[in-house]
Amino acid sequence: MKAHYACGSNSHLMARRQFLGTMAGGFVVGGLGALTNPALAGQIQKNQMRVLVVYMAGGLSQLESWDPKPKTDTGGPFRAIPTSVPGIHISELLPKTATHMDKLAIVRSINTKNNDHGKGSYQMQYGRSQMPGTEYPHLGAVCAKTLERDDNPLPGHIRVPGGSRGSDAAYLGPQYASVGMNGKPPANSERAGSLTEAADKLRNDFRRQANERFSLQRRTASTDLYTQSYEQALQLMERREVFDVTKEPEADKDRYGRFDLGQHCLMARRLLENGIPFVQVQHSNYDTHNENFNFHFEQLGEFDQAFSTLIGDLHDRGMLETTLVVVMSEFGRTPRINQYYGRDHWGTAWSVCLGGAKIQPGAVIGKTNENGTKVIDREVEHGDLFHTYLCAVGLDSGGAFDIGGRQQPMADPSHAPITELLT
Amino acid sequence: MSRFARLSAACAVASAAAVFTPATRSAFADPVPAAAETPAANAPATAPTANTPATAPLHERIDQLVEKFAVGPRSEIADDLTFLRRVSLDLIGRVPSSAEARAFLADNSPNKRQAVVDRLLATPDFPRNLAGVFDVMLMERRGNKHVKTDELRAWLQKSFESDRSYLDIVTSLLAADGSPDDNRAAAAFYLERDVEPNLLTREVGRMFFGVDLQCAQCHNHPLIDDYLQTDYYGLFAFVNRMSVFQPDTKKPALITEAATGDTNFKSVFTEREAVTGPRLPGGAEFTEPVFATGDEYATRPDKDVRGIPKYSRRQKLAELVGAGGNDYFDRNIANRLWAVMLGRGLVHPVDQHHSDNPATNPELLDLLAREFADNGYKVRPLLREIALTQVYQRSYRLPADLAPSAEVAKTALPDLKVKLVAEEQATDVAIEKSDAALAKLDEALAAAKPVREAFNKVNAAAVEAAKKRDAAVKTLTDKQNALNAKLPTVTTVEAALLQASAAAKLISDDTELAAAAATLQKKFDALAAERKKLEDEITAAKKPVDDTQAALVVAQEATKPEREKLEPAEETIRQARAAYVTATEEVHTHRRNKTYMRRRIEFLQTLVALAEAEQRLKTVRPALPVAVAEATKAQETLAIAQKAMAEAEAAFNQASQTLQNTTAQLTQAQTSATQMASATQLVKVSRENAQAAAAKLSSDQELAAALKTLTAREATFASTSQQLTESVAALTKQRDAAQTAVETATGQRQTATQNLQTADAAAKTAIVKRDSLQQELTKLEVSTSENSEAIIQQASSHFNIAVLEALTAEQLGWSLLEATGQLHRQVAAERAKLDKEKPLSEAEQKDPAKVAQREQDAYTAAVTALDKTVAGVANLYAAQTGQPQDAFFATVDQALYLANGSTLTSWLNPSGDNLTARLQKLEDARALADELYLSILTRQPTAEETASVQQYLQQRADDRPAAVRELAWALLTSVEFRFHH
Repeated sequence: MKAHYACGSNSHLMARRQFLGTMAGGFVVGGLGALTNPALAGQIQKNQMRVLVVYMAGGLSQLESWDPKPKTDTGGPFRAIPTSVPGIHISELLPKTATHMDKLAIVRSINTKNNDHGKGSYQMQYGRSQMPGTEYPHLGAVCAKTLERDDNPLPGHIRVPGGSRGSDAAYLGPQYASVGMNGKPPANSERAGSLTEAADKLRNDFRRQANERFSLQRRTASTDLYTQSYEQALQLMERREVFDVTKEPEADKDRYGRFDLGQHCLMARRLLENGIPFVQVQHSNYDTHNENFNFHFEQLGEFDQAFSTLIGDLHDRGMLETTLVVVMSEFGRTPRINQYYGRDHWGTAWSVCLGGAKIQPGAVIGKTNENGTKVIDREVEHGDLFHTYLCAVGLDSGGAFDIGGRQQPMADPSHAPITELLT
Repeated sequence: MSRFARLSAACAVASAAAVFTPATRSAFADPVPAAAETPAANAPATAPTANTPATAPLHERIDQLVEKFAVGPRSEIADDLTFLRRVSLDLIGRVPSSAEARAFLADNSPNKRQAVVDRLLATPDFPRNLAGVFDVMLMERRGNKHVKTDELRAWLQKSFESDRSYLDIVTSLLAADGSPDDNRAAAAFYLERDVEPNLLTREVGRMFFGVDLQCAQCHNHPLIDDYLQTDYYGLFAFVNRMSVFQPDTKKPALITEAATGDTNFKSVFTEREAVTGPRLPGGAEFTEPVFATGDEYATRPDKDVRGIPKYSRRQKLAELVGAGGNDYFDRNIANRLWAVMLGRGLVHPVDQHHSDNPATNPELLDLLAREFADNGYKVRPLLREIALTQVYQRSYRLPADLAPSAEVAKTALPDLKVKLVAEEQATDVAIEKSDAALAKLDEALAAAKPVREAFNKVNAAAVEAAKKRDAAVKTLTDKQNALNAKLPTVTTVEAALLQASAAAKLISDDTELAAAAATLQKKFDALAAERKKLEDEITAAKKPVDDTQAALVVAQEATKPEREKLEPAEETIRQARAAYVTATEEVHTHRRNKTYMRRRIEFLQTLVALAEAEQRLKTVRPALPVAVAEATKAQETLAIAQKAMAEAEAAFNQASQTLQNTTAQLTQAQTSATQMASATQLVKVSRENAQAAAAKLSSDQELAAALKTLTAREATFASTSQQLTESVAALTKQRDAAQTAVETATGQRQTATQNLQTADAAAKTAIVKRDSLQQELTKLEVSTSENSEAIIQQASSHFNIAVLEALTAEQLGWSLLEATGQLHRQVAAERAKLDKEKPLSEAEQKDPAKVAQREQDAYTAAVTALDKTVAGVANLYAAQTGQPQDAFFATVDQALYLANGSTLTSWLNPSGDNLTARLQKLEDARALADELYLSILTRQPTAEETASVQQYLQQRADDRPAAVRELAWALLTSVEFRFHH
């Protein structure tokens, strides 16, 4: 039995199209016009899709968020409140988010069959269960590659907060690995003090001239990519301030909240506005084996303010139609409340909230039983969600990457998107 | 004879007179006549003679096989400096210095290319570079978890220095268990992959057999028909008993191996279940030694004891590979070494050997594989032979004609198509056979299942008995160990007691001494009692050992009949599987031939299409301007005709109008004339009547007056009538003239209409012609450009045009160091350090050997110091750990690093005799340009480039040192420097 996948590699197609485009007619054409049109730089096309993941590290309790079960043996002390969508109730810990429910959707029937932090976070972020001998790219790397724009020099896969480059792009290559943002512009993005702008222009012109001369003898998609990377570097140098969140208005800093998650969400808005295809914000730590209710009360207070402000802003700015937002964890938390008023690891029946892009607003997928101990309708797992994310940003999740002649399915071929969640 | 021989003979399109002769154990390490070796610079490739004997040097036989399949475009032989740069990168991992380039240019000897190959192969840089290449190839940038990368590289380097056989190297890697008496470095292959069996299965398959079976772990490969789950588990069985052994994390990790562990698997697609013993790709299963349950270990494993089985599948794997003779293994390494030199494998990617991805020249791959194996798997001589081939020396520059042999291709196509159909049918037949063989295998597996279950049932008792025996042995051993630990204390106390007692006897009044002796006695007694107790316990523990051993023997005996039943069942499986493997290999062969032919047909069709398009372009290109001119002209003619038509129309209208007017006037005149004529007649009659009356009534005055009036009137009327008649006549003439004019205008209008129609039709035709030519041209240009790209790719995957690939991360790092002069700066620093630490005496300074040695030491120290720098570059330019390292990517990070990073900036600061320092000293812009291009791009600048350099220097006359840095930077960041060509 043999499956056939289309090559969905965007940059491959792009490079090829560009290469052929500039080749057609003259066979070998000099000039860098096609690659360095300054008018294109920094422009974000209206239909450019983006992804924002809010990662609730440690395992958000579905019962204190998207799937409350008040007045049951597992429900805990909090109430459920109505939302802007009649019939959908969420936890009272998310009052501001509740007013945006008409822009969001909930999947309440996730069963990832796993209670381990490491394995769970891999499942949810890579869309597959970890298998020895194989590495898959992170959702962010997949998005950075498939949604990348050749006219945007900014890195495509960003984590806030974070340090250096991650190693989470597997076969897609380091250019799609995550870049951690610590508030500083990327390394080496400032011109050395001894070099004037005029001199830099001169030396770059000389480099371009040398490349043009070489291209008359031989030119390939790879040589084009190489020359392009220098033009992108120059563009990035012009746009270093994108990474400086202090440039945002003071009033916005207040609205998002002057705590880490608030400022990180504001940063995320800034990055998404600048056409970065994938941003992941992390909120830590929901691993509440003790005092689950106090922790969620405090943590979700921050989350509710920052997240609802961000959703509101994305909506007001018309960006929600092109931005997929996912609130995910490695798993949920046990319905059973332990002796320390905590909840433990639980991959059996839990929820994610998502919205924007092609996600059906106001939808609820699946159901758990009365006290949330099992899924009773439309069970899904991480592989299905991963397909759904990709489809939500207009990709064919059944496609494959062509990596140097090796075909790599974009998402786990044994799963499929949740079609009823997609518009 | 190669399984490809048949195929290639069928597919040879160029004159296939050459017959491939299998090599005898020969040749290629032997010195060969120099003159025949090296093509003169830029000389056209000379086709090696047909029927090259097997004793001919390998490089000639390689060229002959390349020649045999050479259809399509082919580049010239590269010029000297291109060759020098290429061979330096491939053999020592960096570009040559400008001094090396100048020396090579100045060398007029006809065999200088061979000489430089031999020189490079003899440098210490060669094994060092090759070690790096192999480390990256085998480890894909894994390392330093358990075994230091440096350690592995040093071991590889040493191996290559002594031309150790590749087979031997791999055998060491596969046999390694990491124990100190073994080769620690060789254990890196397993340990750095955490001895994870699935990962090892994939990696052993990829690295040593060229097959990436990963996707066949849970089911047959979804995209590659050849890769079967059963192959995956055949390899898996060799490695799945291994694991990391590291009870104490402070001590190095070792590899331990269990003596038991079956390999069962089940497809998640088809639910097909099976079990397999170890088996190499393409190989057969074999009988393994059987030990009684409980007796499988030479050293039984325990928490702190590394288990060593009596029979190790790991060692069996090493032994099987070490014995040689596996086609997959030989082809894999031959292909990988070819890729090291040519930038691309004959099979590409190198871990995708399967029938949907045949080698671009299967016969050549077979030749390389066989020759490499027959000559002891020695890497250096093979690389030498490859470097001497013409195919290695082709230019990267495209030839002018991309479809030079389209006619040949066209002729060959029909025959190939017929053969393709035959191969397709043969494939189908082979698949049927293999399906039947699979059914037989499944039958055998099903038949064996109850037998195995029965055996497992009785064996469970034996396993249980063995556990008890092991526990009893452990109890005994623990006691013995405890006793052994105690004995030294007992002995020491006893000795002290004896001495104290003796002393107490001598000094009998010393109570303190007596007390000490007594204490010691007490202590000794207690210890002796403990010893006694342990000895008793040991004696007691011996019995359970004997008892459990006896019970085990009984249990073992009980398994014997079941084992005897199991063995033939397993033998049946082995035979059925061997038959199945043979059948699948047959499928592979036919499918490979089929794919190869299909690709060949596609290629030839592309060539024909390109040639036809180009031919057509020759007509279309010049025809288009003509058509454009014709269309323009026709449109002009049309415009004139339209104007003429309008004029004719106007003239006609005018004439018609005139006719109409004249006719009206005539009619009116005629009417008037008629009226006047009848009036005149009436007046005449009246006058005559009046006259007659007047004659009768002459006196009637009134009558007379009337008559007068009438007479006068008659005269007037007659005159008027006369005038009117004349007028009618005149008008008639006019009308007739107008009539004629209308007729003329009608004629003219008709002509004009016809002219217009003609011109219109002509213009339409001309426009259609122009537009269709334009469309055709666009279409032809697009298809030409696509076909050209396809042909360039094909020609370059057939190595008729040199592959243009980026430098590897290491090549880039070392080349930057060489080109900027940083490498030599480091050597100078190391030399100075050595001269200071261990100055050479005056006598030594006069000894060339000592001086050379000092130079070598300084160089080695510099290279060692710079290894870290290169690792830093690799960090940014290499693919991620554990990923294939052959995909090119260019990132903004990299560009920023070279544009603004401090590393390159500092290397470009003038110092010593580095590049910028040398350039600054050159007053003459031409000399500067020369040194700049030779140092960085290993070639001389063109006149145009020299002029550009000159212009740049003038532009930056205010700051010449900066200008020099900028020029060097611009070339170091150029495509030409970044790529291998």
